[in-house]
Amino acid sequence: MSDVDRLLEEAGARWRESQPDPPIIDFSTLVLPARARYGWWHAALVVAAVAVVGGVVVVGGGRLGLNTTPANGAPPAVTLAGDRVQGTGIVVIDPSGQARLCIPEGVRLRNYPPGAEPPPTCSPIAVPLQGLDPSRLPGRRERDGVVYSGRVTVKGVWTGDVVVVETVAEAEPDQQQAAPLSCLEPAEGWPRLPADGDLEAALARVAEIVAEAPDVYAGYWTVPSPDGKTRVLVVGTVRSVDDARAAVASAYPYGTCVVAAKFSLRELQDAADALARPDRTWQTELDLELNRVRVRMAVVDEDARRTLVSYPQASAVPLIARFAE
Amino acid sequence: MAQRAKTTSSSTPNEFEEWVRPHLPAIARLAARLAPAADRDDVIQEAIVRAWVKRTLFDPRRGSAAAWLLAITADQARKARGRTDRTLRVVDAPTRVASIDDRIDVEHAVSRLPPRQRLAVDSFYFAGLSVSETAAVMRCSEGTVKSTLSDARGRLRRLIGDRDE
Repeated sequence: MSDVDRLLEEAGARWRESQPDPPIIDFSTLVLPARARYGWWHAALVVAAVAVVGGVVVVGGGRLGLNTTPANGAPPAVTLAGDRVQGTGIVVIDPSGQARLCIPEGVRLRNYPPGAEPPPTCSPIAVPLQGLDPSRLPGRRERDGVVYSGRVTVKGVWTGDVVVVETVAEAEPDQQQAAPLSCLEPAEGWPRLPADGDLEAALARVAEIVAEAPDVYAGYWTVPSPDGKTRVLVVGTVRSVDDARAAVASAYPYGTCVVAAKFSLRELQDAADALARPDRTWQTELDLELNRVRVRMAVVDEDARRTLVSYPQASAVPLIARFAE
Repeated sequence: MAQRAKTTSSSTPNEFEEWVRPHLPAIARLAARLAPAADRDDVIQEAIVRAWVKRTLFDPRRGSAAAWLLAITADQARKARGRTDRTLRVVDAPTRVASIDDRIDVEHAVSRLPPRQRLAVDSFYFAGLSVSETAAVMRCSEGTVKSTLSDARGRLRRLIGDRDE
């Protein structure tokens, strides 16, 4: 061990000793994260995850959103007073008795002893509920005067201000589906992935290529090969597929599938920035695989529809939406 | 997809908790080390949320759960540091007093390393990560980590020596 090595070891050990214990996390509210905007690199990696789970984020209308706001640029359906609606999230009833269906505010994370964590907090994406029977709330828990549920699906009638509850049921598990690979498999099959370090380095090169040309590319993500034995890198481009394929192949010499996209990464990010509201009643995230910006909100009203019409790259993902009986 | 869900082994919050909990100490140390001016718990929270969202992308063939989670933590720490850097830019840096012990000497010297070398040193020596975990954080190979650490030690030797002269 060299002198510097020893100094570093000792300094590191002292520093670690000075650190507080890791926080105790209440994972029970880990249902849907509140998401902020991402940089290019982050968008490419993180949002790909959203895409890979089939556009179905855990709560609050991933599927509802896709059902109600087509990803083909058509305007989203407005939810009107009197519509029968459903939504998935958590129910929080505050000490005054006000019940809300909401997307929780991320995970709670503070140094609370197990079982003594505070109740969950609703994010600004929430709708008031009326006529709810708190005693029959699935996964009901109570703390500090706040009653709250696990992940539930609420059905009822939208009055324009509140949902008059008809049923509350435990939400169905997520349905995770990867979109099929759109490229033909090479005759020799999709290549196996290399060792970790090589793969990370190659992905970093791809990230750099994409980040440097956000007007050309629409991001990248990975999907499993049809046989499930490897993964294929998919890169979207709004320009020449052949040019993009050549550029990416030099950086990532493994299984690659370059696809044509309608919207560039810059167009997606610009829309995400423009549509995200500072009060977080609208939250945006990029869905690279669908080549869309997903806009989370409580409900699609006429104002929302008018706004979103100007952004064909955006799809509303409302907490509550009409449903077909 | 079924295979991916199986390898993630964290399709519910409870399963995810079981999967993440053993790695929390290292996650906490890395968050504190890489974003010292930020709220450590905020960084951890962001990392946990990101990991939850990305959990279907975890592939054990590409590395351990710890390495995967630590790489996400490092990303969040970088973002947090960017935010605090912007905030701190308008604040005068405190005048640095003379070092009084080795720890301050070493910490001061580490702070003068180039970013990649500092990241390697912070991750390996201070956060206490393994070489493979440090490689995940740095998004490079283990060999690159070793050579970066070697370069960092060489530079530190000169920096600490300079201070002594």
